[in-house]
Amino acid sequence: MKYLVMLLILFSNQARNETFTYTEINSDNGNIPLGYPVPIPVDSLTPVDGFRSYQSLDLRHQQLAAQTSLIERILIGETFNGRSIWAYKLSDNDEIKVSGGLEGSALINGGIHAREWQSPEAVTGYMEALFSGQANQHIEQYLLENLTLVLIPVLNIDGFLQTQRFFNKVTDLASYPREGRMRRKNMHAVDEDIQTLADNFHGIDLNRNNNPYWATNANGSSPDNSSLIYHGSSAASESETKALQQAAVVAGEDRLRFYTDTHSFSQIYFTPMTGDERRDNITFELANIMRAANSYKYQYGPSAAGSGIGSTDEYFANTYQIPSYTLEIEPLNSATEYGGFGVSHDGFILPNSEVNRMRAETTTAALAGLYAMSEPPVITGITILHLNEVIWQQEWQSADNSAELITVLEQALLADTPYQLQVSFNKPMRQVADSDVVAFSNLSQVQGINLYWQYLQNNEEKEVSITSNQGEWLLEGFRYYKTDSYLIDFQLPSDFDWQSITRLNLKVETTDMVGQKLDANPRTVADWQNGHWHQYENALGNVSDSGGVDQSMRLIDDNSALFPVVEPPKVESSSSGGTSSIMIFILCVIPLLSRKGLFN
Amino acid sequence: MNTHKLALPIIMLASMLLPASIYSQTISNSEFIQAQKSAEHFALSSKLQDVSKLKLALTDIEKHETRLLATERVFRLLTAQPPSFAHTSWLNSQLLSDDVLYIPNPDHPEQQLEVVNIAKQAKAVLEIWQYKEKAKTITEALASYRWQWHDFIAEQGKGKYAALSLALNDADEASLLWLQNELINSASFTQADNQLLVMLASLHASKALVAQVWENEADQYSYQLLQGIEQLFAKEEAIKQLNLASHNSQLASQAILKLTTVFIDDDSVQNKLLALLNEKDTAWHVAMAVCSSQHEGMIDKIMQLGRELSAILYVKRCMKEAL
Ligand SMILES: [Zn+2]
Repeated sequence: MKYLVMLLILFSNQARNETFTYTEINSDNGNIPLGYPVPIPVDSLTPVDGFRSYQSLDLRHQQLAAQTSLIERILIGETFNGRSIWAYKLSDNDEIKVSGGLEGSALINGGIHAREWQSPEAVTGYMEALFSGQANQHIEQYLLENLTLVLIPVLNIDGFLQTQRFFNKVTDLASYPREGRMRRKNMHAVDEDIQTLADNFHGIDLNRNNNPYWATNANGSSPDNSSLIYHGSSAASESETKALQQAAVVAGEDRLRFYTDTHSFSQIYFTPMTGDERRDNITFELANIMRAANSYKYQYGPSAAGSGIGSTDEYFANTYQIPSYTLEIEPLNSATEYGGFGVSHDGFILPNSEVNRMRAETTTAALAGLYAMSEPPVITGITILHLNEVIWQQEWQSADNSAELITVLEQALLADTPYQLQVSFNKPMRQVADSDVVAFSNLSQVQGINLYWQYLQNNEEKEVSITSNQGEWLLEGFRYYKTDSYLIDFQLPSDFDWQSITRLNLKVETTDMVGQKLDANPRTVADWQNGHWHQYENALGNVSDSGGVDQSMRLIDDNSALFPVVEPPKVESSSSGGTSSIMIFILCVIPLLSRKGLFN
Repeated sequence: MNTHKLALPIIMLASMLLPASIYSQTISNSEFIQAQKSAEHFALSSKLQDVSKLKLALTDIEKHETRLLATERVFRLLTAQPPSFAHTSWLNSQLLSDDVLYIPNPDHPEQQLEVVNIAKQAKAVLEIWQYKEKAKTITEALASYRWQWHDFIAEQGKGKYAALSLALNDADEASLLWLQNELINSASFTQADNQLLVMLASLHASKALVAQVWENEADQYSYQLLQGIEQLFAKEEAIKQLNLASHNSQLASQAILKLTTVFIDDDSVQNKLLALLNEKDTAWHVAMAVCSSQHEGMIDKIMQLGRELSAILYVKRCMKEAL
């Protein structure tokens, strides 16, 4: 009896051979009107209002790589049908940051799911932004010089080509289309003809083909090769999955600190927790930074540690203990957000008219995340000028993972005398738009810096604020990058007396562009290790992932300890510990579920 | 206190609250596919004219998800016919429907993907009816050659394009030509946007309309038009149009790729490409296009080029690899 039912189902599957055509408004039989023009893949090298064909995207990537030594095209494997899968390494030729120390690396994957056309356009957009900003002396140039970024614009090339070949055709159900424009999986044992129904549902979901949770969740992945979420015959059975893993080798596995798999749609950063509290908190904070880039219109969706569905973000989170995301690009629910009719699955068909904006928004967010993970901000030096003449210059000079404070030039400072102070940092510290310093969402303000002189005079501790005046983040005369230096006028009070001072230092309270506080101990160079920041000290000199106030710049040094209260090292995480991360998880999930109607 | 005595009122209370929670329903993929299949078994097309019969037939469907899918199917069928008053008022009442069907989002199973939304579908049907109604008046106007482009261009909203496009799908060639000429000769011609120009030109190739698109700032319509240009014009004219389009900086790379992939056998195209290879703004586009073509006829011509722009060096290198 059971067999009979199965046979009947099978038979009815075979018998139905309905292909639907997406149209703008024509609702004749067999048509699915979207309410906006159906995107046709366009052969263009430069970005269009719409989607480019795979062939022209591939040529575009080669075109950018051919024009600069900062972009390198690297073969990482091939698809089931033998097409070359390319990764692009975006970085200068040394592996050293401008301020010393080794560069970190990051990996962003695109086009793992064929029908999610937003993804290859977004990842190509990141490449185009870095290419065109390579000498802009700001974020883009900074990233190229201080990070090794590896991009895979299209992983599932076979599937992507299938969706482009049938850009307006789907089968088999109008409300649950699977093949043609709506293919998701790779083309393993699938022919390119959408009329042959037998193999239409085959192929492997490359985002279920990964360790460590491969085939562990009956709801999240399937052993059935006709399932939309078929996990394949074994973990990493697919050549595309192997290529993705090879890209991590290209990026430098021991330097890797960021991964994103780029999908659409539902406008959210999904991310797996791993149970490593510090990594999990950093992952939350970093998602916040990327969300801030677009006024938090993207949601946040963490999933609990200890289980999974076999997705690539789980693989990278657990293999490397790094922040690892599944970015689902817009729309939130459906194309009704752009005036479409809201037919089933139309969220996969972003209207042409939205693509340029989508590309720009995802680029801003991705670059903000990469900027945050490149390195924490740290003070690199100060210069004091009197009547435009440098009278004091002091710098942290770093070698490998430690730095030394070197005084290049020194001259006593006098009370009631006009000076200018320039404080420099290791990275651009503010957002710039149209040649103006601007706020970056709610994470950094146009000024956003407090400076004080602290001194010990006749055994009395004193503190004088400098930033009662207003200075400026420099767009000219900076050190390496626009806004890496802050310039301000100051005078010392009448009772300031250099001779009777035994200790004089600058106190600096600020954040970088995305709100990360300073590494309070520049002597030990911060780096990413084992799932957290290493040597990114807070104001007390303790281990942290969020930094603090810098008081390290001593003009007169009494050799007292930089961090007077010696406490046993304890972790200060960026939010506040384990219970809070659970709360954050719950708080984020509740609106998500209720939005989706589960609580209705 | 006997808890059993309380149980019944609680169940009753719960069942009163239940309908509200039933509207948005999540079902598994296989349940969904089953529901879709059973929805197709109900003979509803014969009842389309009679709204009360239609409603009754739908209410009779026991399973909620099957009913929703059947309703959606009825909606789709209804777009094909002109609505009665009863039809529109029924559809209007459905605008307030809470009926939504979700399946697990394949990307993240704990998240939901909306597959049926009755209110949204009702709105779409009403919109399509409006467009069709408007299309009918346009068809009538065209039949008596009454048409003012100025009025059309001045009209706000996106509905006018949809209606015009529906009307023109059924228009004969004479009316189409007349409409095109009216526009080309009207004072409003330069104010016509790409959406209008491309719609008119796609139905019947017009050099003047297409050339105007290349003059305008590029938008989604220009790219889509250019993508199919060789289907619109015969070879000689298509090449002419592509040459024009190559002067629009946003369209240049697309025009160059098209010239290379479709028309590179033509001598004039080869010479045009060589000229564009010597221009700073287009050199890299030509380099990539010609490299990927590996066209034998271009190899000698490229090798003879003197000026050593980096794009020319690149294309020389890649053509040499082909030898
Ligand atoms: Zn996806």
